[in-house]
Amino acid sequence: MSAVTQPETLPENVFAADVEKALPPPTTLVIFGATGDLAARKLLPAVYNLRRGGLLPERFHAIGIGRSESGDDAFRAHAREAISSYSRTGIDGDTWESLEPRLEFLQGDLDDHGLYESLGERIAKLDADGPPAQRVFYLAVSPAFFGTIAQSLASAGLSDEAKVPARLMIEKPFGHDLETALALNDEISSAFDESQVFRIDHYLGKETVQNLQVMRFANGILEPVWNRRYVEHVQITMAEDIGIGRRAAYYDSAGAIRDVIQNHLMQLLALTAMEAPVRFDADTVRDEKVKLLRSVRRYTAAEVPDYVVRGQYGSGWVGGEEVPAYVDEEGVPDDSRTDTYVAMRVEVDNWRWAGTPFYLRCGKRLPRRVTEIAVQFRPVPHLPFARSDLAEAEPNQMILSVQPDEGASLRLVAKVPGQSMNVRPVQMEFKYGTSFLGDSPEAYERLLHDALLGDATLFTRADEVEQEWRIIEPILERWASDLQGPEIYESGSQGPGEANRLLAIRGRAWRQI
Amino acid sequence: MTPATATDATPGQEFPERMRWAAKGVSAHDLNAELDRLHRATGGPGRVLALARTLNLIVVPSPDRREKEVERALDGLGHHTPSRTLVLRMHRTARVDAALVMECQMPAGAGRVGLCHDRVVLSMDAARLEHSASFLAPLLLTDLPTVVWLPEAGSDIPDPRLLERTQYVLVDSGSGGHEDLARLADLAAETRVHDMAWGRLVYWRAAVAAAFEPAQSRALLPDITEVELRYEVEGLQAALLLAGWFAARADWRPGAVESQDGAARVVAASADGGEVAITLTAADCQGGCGGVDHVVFRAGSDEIEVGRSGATSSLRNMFAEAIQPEPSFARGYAPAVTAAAAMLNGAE
Repeated sequence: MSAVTQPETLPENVFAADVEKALPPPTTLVIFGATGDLAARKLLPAVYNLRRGGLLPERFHAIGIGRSESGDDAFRAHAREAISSYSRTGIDGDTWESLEPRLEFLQGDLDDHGLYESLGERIAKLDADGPPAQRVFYLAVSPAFFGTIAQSLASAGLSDEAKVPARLMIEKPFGHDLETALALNDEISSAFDESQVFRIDHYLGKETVQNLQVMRFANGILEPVWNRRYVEHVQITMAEDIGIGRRAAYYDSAGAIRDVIQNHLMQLLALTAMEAPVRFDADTVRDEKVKLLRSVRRYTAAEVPDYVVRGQYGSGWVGGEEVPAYVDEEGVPDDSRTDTYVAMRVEVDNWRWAGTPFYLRCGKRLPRRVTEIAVQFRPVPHLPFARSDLAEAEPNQMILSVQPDEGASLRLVAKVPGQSMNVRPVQMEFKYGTSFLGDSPEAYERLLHDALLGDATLFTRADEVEQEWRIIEPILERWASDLQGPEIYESGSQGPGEANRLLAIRGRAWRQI
Repeated sequence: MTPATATDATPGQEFPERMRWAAKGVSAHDLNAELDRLHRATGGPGRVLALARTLNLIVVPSPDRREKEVERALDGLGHHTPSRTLVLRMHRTARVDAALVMECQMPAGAGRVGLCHDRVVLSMDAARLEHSASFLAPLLLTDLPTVVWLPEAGSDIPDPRLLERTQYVLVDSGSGGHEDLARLADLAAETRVHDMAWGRLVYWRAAVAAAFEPAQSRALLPDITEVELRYEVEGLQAALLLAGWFAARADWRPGAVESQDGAARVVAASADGGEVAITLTAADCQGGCGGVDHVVFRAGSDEIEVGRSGATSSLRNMFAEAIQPEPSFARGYAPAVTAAAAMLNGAE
């Protein structure tokens, strides 16, 4: 069926107002790298769970693209195994039977123009039974192919929005530094309009990250104290207990600063510190994030050692198991100077935050897996309670826990019941797992669904990525010329001792991991 | 991993409910996943349940003879201090086995909220125990106080790194020999120690402080030359702790304890160069008195006497009080136990 010419002004969908659950329009999802690890662990289970939750349109097809010789049947068997292994809900017969015939496979080389012609023909065949379905291209492949695929899709006429809606979904890393990020954005924008590009930072799909916005902007009591006058400092932590696994080829050239700080932690920083958006829509929210990232102070290369600490894990014990040093991991050169831990002090030079530092840290082979935002409020000016062990009465802290237990808690000081005026900290706590019945969707489910609906609020825009790189660039420059490599820290410890120096004023200390 | 799950819950039962799970060769990740699954499984339509955890409690391995006592204490824990309880045990097999119990108190009546807490028993070999802090780290609940319980004061802490994650250590010096006091003095220098024996002395410390409150009594403080302390037959450690506290507060430097006519005697040097003789005598103290029976301070012909009328048998079981994270529990303990240890070791 040919594309329908649209009138200049579309009539309002009078049925949409009463509908709570939004269903995407008819869709053909094309997954590049469909037999790879990301597709198996995240994408295929996400597609399955969206189907299971009734969140996919009736006319939905997924075409997997891979280099391996594989037909539809083999791909379906692979998908079934992946879903059985990684779906948060397991796999049930009915849902799988309805999904299975909608999965197809196309074998080909990503550099081969013929692949894209075949893809066009396959999509046209699927469109034969109704109006053309929107096309969502998910690039679960090495970033080295992003430009090639985007331009090949454009050459084959598959990115042309005038005919039918088309979207391109890509995963980090978005470049290796500012220069390559700009080049990648140029390459993609020559094939797809920015409004068609959905850059995934899967952290933005997590409930707590979204809840951060609700906490801040739907609760009147927080906004008046969310500023330099009441907040002493903020700690944003993403700690992992795992090592690099089999990712040496990528990780050794990226390090923690590119793998985590430049994207996940910069996004968490932006969401924690940004001004309230007027509306919760894609461009308004992203405008506010970009404004915030622009106000982050750029350090000169000479200043970097005063504000940024890097480390690399040595051997040690984690989770009851003895683990090797980073340089002893498979595929890592013996003389590698790659950072597996980064801690940095960030200054936000704007009216709200001037003088209140944000401390960011991430690392591998730390004692436990935890991602959290800890907002430490200023202490009260005077404590009138004598003999009450007030050293223990720490200032209020609000903790937003992103993983593993999504939730929020507020540390207050309370009187211990009894005759004496003893005080101690208590936690007011809310956990998603126990406050709401039903599981939270996986981040990829939420993000994939949003992309199918065309909602880019939780995706990163090109100018955000560029701002993030501008903050990181001087650090990369300094480290490239620095003779001193990262400090070695013992696996299972809290990280390099030098990181404590960043906070060692006014009694500040890192929260224990 | 070879899991086995069972539940004690029966339909219509109101409280308590216990769900159990056990597996061999587990990882911390397995356990977290199972704890999460059990927590979720407790809720449901018509069942409002909250996880009630006020602290993380790590129990280090104790000798077999203590196991029943430990069990009893932990069984009652949910009533006063619901906790994430991690009990370490040693076995010979080179792996970690786990047994998990989740207990929920389901109150009768509509609209009431039930409370749940969990206990994990981890059996591991000696090599793994030496690195148990790394296994336990992912299991500890963030932002809650963490306490290590040594059911026997002389027990070793299997991995010194456990102390890095701990706000205080719970012990009962009254349950061991007086030689443990030296070890506790070292521990108290490193971390906060909640010694149940110290808790039992709360009446005696308050009573002594009250006895010296009147101006005429306080005036005698610099002139004290003798202290007589009668203690329960099994309570020498308590007596030493109390005597250590006197010495620490009054700035007396105690010498070594000596045996004399069935009593223990210590001579301490006071700040002005004088001597204070402290005599500790065993007595028959029935009905519970916190380990101490009677204290007399002498300054020349004047005497200040403190009796045990306010020390009750409720002081015997201090577990519920000592496990609370109140820092005031340990106030004054470190210098007191250091002085007590100095008496045993010879001199300060």
